Amino acid sequence: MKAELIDTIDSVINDKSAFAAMNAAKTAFIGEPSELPINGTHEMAEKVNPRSAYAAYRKLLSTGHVEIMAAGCSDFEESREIFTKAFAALNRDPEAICKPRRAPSALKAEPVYVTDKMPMQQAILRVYLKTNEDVYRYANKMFGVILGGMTTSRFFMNIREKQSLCYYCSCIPATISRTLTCYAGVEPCNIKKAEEAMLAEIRDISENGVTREELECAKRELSESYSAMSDSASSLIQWYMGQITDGDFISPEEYFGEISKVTAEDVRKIAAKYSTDTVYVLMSEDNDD
Amino acid sequence: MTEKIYDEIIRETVLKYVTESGVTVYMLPMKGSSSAMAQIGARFGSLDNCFSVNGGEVVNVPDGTAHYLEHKLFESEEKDAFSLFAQTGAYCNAGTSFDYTKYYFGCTTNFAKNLDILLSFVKDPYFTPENVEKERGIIGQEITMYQDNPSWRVFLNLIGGIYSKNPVRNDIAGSIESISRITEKTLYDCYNAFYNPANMFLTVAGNFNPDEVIEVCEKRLSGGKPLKVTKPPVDEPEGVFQKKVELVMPVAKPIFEIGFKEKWENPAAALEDYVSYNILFDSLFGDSSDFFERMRGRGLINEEWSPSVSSGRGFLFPMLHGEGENPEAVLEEVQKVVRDSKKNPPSKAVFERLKKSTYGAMVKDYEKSSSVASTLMDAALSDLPPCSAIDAAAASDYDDMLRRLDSLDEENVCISIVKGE
Repeated sequence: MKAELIDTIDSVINDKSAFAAMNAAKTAFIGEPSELPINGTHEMAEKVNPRSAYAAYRKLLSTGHVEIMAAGCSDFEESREIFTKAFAALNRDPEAICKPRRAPSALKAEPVYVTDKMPMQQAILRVYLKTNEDVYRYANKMFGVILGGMTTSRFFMNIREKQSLCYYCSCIPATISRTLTCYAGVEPCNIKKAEEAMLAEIRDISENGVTREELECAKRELSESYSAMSDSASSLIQWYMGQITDGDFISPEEYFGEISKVTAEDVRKIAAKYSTDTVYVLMSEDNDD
Repeated sequence: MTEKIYDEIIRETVLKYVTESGVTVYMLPMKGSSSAMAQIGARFGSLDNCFSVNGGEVVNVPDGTAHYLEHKLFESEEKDAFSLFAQTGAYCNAGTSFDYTKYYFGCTTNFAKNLDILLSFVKDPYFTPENVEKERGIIGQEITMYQDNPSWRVFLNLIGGIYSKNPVRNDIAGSIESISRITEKTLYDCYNAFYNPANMFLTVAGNFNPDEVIEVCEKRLSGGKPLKVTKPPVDEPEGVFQKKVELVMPVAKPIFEIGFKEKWENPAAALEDYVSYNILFDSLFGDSSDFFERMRGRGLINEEWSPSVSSGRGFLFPMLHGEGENPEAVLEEVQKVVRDSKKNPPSKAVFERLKKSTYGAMVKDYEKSSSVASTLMDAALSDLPPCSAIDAAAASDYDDMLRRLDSLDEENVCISIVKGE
């Protein structure tokens, strides 16, 4: 099992996007838990032995905050009884998860630029922006969708379709860490152009805001996706699992209720808060920086 | 006139309608579903690089043309499809495979309007030298993205090692060189040949009104003549082209795939083969097999191991995917298992357990409107009854599996390896 864990950790190099994300995080989140790969490092895995693994397992059972999700055609009474009986046999002293859950990542005084090289054809660009101010969660979500999270997003329409700079160009806003991660696969000769194009879109939104059409399209797209969640038990479970760290335990419908209140000015204000923290490039050894 | 096709296995009624122009539509209303999905598909994929229409002149097109056409079909002179779908909030996308192209949307509201948008774009191509040129850079980026993906490379190399002449061996998106030769004329020639009523299907599943679907179809899918598009026969030898294909690129540990070349007879036979080979390979090499336990214990494979079956129009190969330092040793063990199993096959109890597992996975496909629409489309593109896949799984028996085991030739295999420096 230890060997397979090490295989899983090492095999991140097989997926260039995941490898770029892992390497970029070391700089973007230096000194924070987020700088670590999700499965830990090769060195950490090497140190695990049967005694330490068992101790960690016992600690998890004793202090871990446990959430059990069930969705589907049952009242789950039988499941509740089984789980209650199983956990009653343990001595538990679970740690509480802080609510609201916030782990802001500090914005660097000056942007840091990192380039890694390996044999590959396409370059991968990751731009991390952060803010030291609080972000309005729902406006942050809308900003992410309008900027790079839907098929008519700024990134898709302007950077991919109009400028033909990339096949994929997207972004993920994270309210917990106050971070906006923008990423794209680009030709090595277009790295700088793509970076500038991403920042230009964010600057444009911060100065000029978003159009009413963009706002309404984003809300319609989110409304559709939240409405469809009830068709799938696994989608519903995934939704509520995500709510654990968000701090508010609300339904997709309630979430959308908050989203629908977001205004264009809310989105503009969010965009204006972000500044560049880290720019990371993974590219071929054959190309110049 | 709408035909009702009742399926005994899933106990659902699929509606079949053929438009005046000849496009076949399959619909499955799903009670309790809040969403609906519609897919329109054409029997045109990457392996259709050489064809003739109604017995006429043979046309050759560059590799990657079907995929290129898919990229361009969502554009029109005034607007692109994405902008129109954004007005309704529907999710939309498209995809090209070896033997088909599909365009689809999913929504919870405005279904008829969304269907109208989908069909209007697919029926009205708009290709100009400028918009074709603009797409070349984007598709070029997609090609290089896949070139950097070892999982895709090991699979494509496997196909290239199995088949010497079958055009399935060519990359779906083509190459930078091949797409440089695609022009708007290439796209129009292919569109006019393949996007004809006899070669296209619409499938709809979920929460929708069938009468509305028929109304929109008759409005948008009128015109066009059914055409017979044929491909020159491919003289593909029975044996694999290469026993081993290797590629060096950055990976943590070698990843490898082993493919057994099998004969593709026709869509119905291929579906039965697909089901039986899935169960067979699960029993010989799956998670619950002795093989998996032994190989994992020896460190020759890890949890990345998976048996599966690749099948499409004109190709069929059961395969194994793994990761480990000694792929050749794994291949030897695989071949030994096949030889030994012919004398000592998996038991009927094992077969029944894995048949349930295969069947259960297919039942899950009927949970969501998106997977139902896809399942209906897969059957339609193969000219098979709408629920043929799950019906084949239910009907499969132990003797079917044993027949496949008997005919499996453990020497007619290719191993594709991607390893680091």
